[in-house]
Amino acid sequence: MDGHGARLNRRGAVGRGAAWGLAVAVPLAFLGLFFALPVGTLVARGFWPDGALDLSGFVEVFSRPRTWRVIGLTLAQATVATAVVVLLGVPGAHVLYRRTFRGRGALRAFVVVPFVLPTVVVGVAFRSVLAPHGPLGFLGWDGTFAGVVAALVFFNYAVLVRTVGGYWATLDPRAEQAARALGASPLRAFVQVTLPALVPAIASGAAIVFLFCATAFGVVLVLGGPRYGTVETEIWVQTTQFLDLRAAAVLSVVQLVVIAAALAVAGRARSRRERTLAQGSTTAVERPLRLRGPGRSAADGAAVAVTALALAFLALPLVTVALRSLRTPRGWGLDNYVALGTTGGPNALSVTVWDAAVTSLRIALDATVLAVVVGGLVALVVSRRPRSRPLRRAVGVLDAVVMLPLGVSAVTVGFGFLLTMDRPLGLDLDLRSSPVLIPIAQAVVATPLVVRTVLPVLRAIDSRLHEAAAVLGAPPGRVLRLVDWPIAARSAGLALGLAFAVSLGEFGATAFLARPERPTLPVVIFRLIGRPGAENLGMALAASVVLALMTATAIALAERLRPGVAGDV
Amino acid sequence: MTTSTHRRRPRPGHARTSARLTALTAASALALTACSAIGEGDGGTDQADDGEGGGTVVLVTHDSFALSEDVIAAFEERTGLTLETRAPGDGGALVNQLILTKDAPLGDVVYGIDTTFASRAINEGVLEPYTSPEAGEDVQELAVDDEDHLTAIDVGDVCLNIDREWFAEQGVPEPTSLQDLTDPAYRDLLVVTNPATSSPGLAFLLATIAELGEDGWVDYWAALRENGVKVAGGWSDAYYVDFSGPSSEGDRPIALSYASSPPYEVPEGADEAPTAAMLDTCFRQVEYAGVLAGAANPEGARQVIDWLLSPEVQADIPENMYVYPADSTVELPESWELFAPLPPEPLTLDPGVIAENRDAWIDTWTATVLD
Amino acid sequence: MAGLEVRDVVVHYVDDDGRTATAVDGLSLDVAPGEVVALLGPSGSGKSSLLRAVAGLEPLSAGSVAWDGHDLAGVPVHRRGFGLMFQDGQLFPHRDVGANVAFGLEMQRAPREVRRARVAELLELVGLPGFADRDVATLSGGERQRVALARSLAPRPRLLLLDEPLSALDRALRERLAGEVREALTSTGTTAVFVTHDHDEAYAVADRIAVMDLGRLLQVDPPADLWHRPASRRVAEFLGYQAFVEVGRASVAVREAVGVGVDVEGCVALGPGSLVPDDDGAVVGTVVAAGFRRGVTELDVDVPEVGRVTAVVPATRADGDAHRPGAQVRLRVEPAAVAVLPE
Repeated sequence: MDGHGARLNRRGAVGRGAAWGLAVAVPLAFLGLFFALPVGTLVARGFWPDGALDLSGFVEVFSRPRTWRVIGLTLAQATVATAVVVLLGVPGAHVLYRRTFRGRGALRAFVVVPFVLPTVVVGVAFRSVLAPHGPLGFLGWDGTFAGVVAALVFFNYAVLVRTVGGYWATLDPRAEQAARALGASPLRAFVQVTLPALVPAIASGAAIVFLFCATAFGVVLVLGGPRYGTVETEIWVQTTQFLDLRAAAVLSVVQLVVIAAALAVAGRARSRRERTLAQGSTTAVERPLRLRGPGRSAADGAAVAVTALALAFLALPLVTVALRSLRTPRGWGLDNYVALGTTGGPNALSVTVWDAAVTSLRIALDATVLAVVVGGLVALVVSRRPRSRPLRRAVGVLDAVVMLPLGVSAVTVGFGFLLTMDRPLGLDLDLRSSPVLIPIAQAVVATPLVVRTVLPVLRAIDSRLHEAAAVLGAPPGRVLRLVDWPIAARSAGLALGLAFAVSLGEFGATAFLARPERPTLPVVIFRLIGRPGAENLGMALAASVVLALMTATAIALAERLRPGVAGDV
Repeated sequence: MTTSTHRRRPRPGHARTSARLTALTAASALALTACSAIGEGDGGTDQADDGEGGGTVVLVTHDSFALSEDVIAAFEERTGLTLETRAPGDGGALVNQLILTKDAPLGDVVYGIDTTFASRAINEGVLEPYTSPEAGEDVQELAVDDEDHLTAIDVGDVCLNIDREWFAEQGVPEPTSLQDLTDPAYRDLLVVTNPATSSPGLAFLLATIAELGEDGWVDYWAALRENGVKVAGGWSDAYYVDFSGPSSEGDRPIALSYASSPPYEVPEGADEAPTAAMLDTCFRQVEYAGVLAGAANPEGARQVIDWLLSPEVQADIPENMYVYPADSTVELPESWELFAPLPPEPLTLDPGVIAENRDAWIDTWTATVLD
Repeated sequence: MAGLEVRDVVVHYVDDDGRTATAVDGLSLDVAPGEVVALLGPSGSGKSSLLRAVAGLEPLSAGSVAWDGHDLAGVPVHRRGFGLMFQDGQLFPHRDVGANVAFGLEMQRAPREVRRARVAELLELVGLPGFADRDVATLSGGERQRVALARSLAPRPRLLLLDEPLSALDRALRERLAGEVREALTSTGTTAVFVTHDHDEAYAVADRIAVMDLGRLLQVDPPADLWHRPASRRVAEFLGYQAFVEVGRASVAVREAVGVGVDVEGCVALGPGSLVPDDDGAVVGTVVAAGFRRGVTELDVDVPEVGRVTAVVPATRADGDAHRPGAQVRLRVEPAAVAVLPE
């Protein structure tokens, strides 16, 4: 190389360093400003009430028996619900992602609907099902631990099915086939070969489910009755009702510890098991589902049975909502849907439900773009294994830190926004009332989901594919574009859909920021269901059906928009 | 489905590639511009420049706030002000948010502080005194302190509602008082909400304290618990799931709601309401407005309070917010006159006493009823 | 100086626990333009590490890699103009065969028509004409490696590095492809380094063979020279020489037999086929085992003072009994299969 070439190379290396720096800096800046700063400021208020550090809150909060009961209940609920979700979800992932059958796309979209319905609607729908007079009243679950677990399972089933399914769909089935050929029964082959290979995805999905369950708020409030408080509901009560920031800060620290522990466990499981997958396997990953005749399998039959049960369980509250939305004071009819074009009974709303739906869609688009950009960058950075150990550690830390928004209470974030966004970074710009903050708040929540969806796929790309491309003359940027992107794009549809759905249904943080003249759909539903009368309830339920359909459509579209599937990028 | 058919098809060439990429790029571009909420022009970050008429006045309120569009438009036209509302949460959270943001207030004027939080708001110094020339006798009677930090705008009564049809069908006499509810005849018939998480729940707790006194209320709740009271997390949950009223499907004919609820259960053309409020169980909650300390546009804030007391707004309040105007001379909607009479002697407590004891009362309640 | 110059190269690996392992330990090697050099060595000898270091995929701990006299330190992988072919092909799963082959050409921004023509030409060269539109997932193992070879050759690399490209294939295919690879490399005049642990493959493909062990080069020579004049006992052992006789200490009979008339001092290595059953032979051995293999009978014979050696007999149906285990057999030494070690 001559001097010129060497200079070029140095510039290339500097440019690459700068590009990676930017890929790390953008997400960190985003999460730092819109997550760490508000949360940190609010928690700091609790520990430094008058400028001096005051840790007496710990002693006081931990001396309350209620605190210990709440922590115990939080862990118990989350653990049991996560276990049930995994047991039901893995067969679901198999049926929905490894078998083809008519209507699969619709079912895949359907399972996401519970995940994004506003908790207040789900609460009412779920309790209608579980209450003594409801169809599942005989179980006696109303207001019990089992009822809370059932609701948590209802919300989180989709998270596990999609995380595991997306990964499973790219798993080479030949290892399992080899085990079968070696004489293993289908169950044994699954338990000893496939299951270990799935562990990273299951750990990943279970960690998210655990976080969601451990920080569940509305659903616990409604379904658990007041007896089954969690750390999250306790933080909400302490913050919004008592303004006891000291207690709230202590509980937030407890919550962070719980979440960090869960993440650490999941991280260990992942790093120990995560292996690169054989790409481009010659064996078809998906097979048609056959329950009768030649080619049927008992395992498929069992998986289908479990999945059918799970889907029926998901459908029950949704069907209840749909049926009740068709009921009017004068019998069955579409009156409630006609009313969506109005502002409700006597001025129940400031806008029509359709206007709110449009607002929700616009905000969700922004939030999705933000979440996919930020989450995609994080996934990209975290999927790399730098040679230097400190850098590898740093990547591991980033991987964990980006999950925290899932584990911090919306009320902490919301109150934190009010404290810090009046002059963010000292700029003379009051963001607290700006419409910009709503999609940002939603993107903060959606980002970890994007990371968790895209990361396993990126990690599974054989590093030698990168090397092959580099040797063929592709600079790092083009390797990303021509190798990683098309392969990762297979999961990008999934990520897009989830981010969009989360944003559509987000209520916790949005409620703190929403502008009365521009409410989102969940806010409108919340308002309608908070007022007496059959018309308001009917409209709320009809609006919920609309929200559910919008979500399902978004997911179904996102699945079609998978540029990598045709392999033609 | 899509995936499998795509996977088996021979790979198309690069022409499709770029077309697809273009489509993707176009879609993202669209997302960023045409459909975006961020991209929209918005005056959200405008600051009120001065108090001389004109400019923007920011009203901080709770998430149930609503008024008719034409009423708001008339105000803006008359004053030259632009009214901007912010609703950062429900009623209880509102005061705490104001306290937190004292150094950088969320707006100029607040509306929606209720009896239970009034004293705390005043004591924490988030409000400036203002006596509105529009305040009539009714409004003055409801004042919290002598300096008029808060101005009463509306009153809402939290009352137990009963499903009259249920009692008629079962041949059980309708309960009328709080005491009736501990009678075994009304076992397993009552649903209320948790005072720690729901504002009507808190109001009802205060009602029992007002009625039975510091010495009696704990025993009363213990008796209610004995008699099978159900505690729901929130109002919607209690009213739409547990209550047996016409728009609900529950099995409990006595539920905690509002004095204003019955008209909304009346079928069109009917002249009798299927539900009714138990007028002797009502706790009066007053909602106040006040000028925020450190307001950017205090003059505009005062104009908003005057406007909230004006006959137009007072008359607009019932059907928008399901509460009664503070000014009793304002005419109520017809259905309200018929089915939602204001309780003649609602239970009340002094806001100062509430502020002092609220947290302790809730703790005691939790220990008595839940633990 | 033209071609590849590897000077005193050291490659270290650091594992997750912070331990350092040396994969390449001060190695030097030259490859002339147009030459095909095979790197032969047992697994774990550092062959692949050396290859990756030359490609720029592993950093050098010491030493230098230069091309045509220019040091490549700091030249990133994609600017070296080298090609690398992996053991398992590493075809891009999201691209069809044609797009895989065209990848390197796209990187060079070759016009579409040029790419198309070159892809067709190379698919022809590797015996897969008309495969351009095929999904890579539908290819057999052999076809995948052919596509990988075509993909590596398409951008006309100055140097092609092949990392055990045939080891995953079955024997017959491997032998056939080894010939085809040689053909493809020579017909395109490509300079190449070919890593393998298979001797036959190395002999079939290479102009010169470099024997590597424990991160160092033991010997670099053309195939025939390597076979006949292994530089050390280690090399001889690795090449398949089985028995080593210190001529000075051997009995007269053996000494005469293996010395084959030459006045040898030092060590003589006997390879498979160096002993041939002959009733007039000077050496007597005991048959330990007999095996039939592709047209010849291989006898494992224990010869006193020499050790175990494989003797090869053209398979004739009649000999069955004479070569039963335990039978005594007279052997003569085939001079061409005996190597004299320089020690």
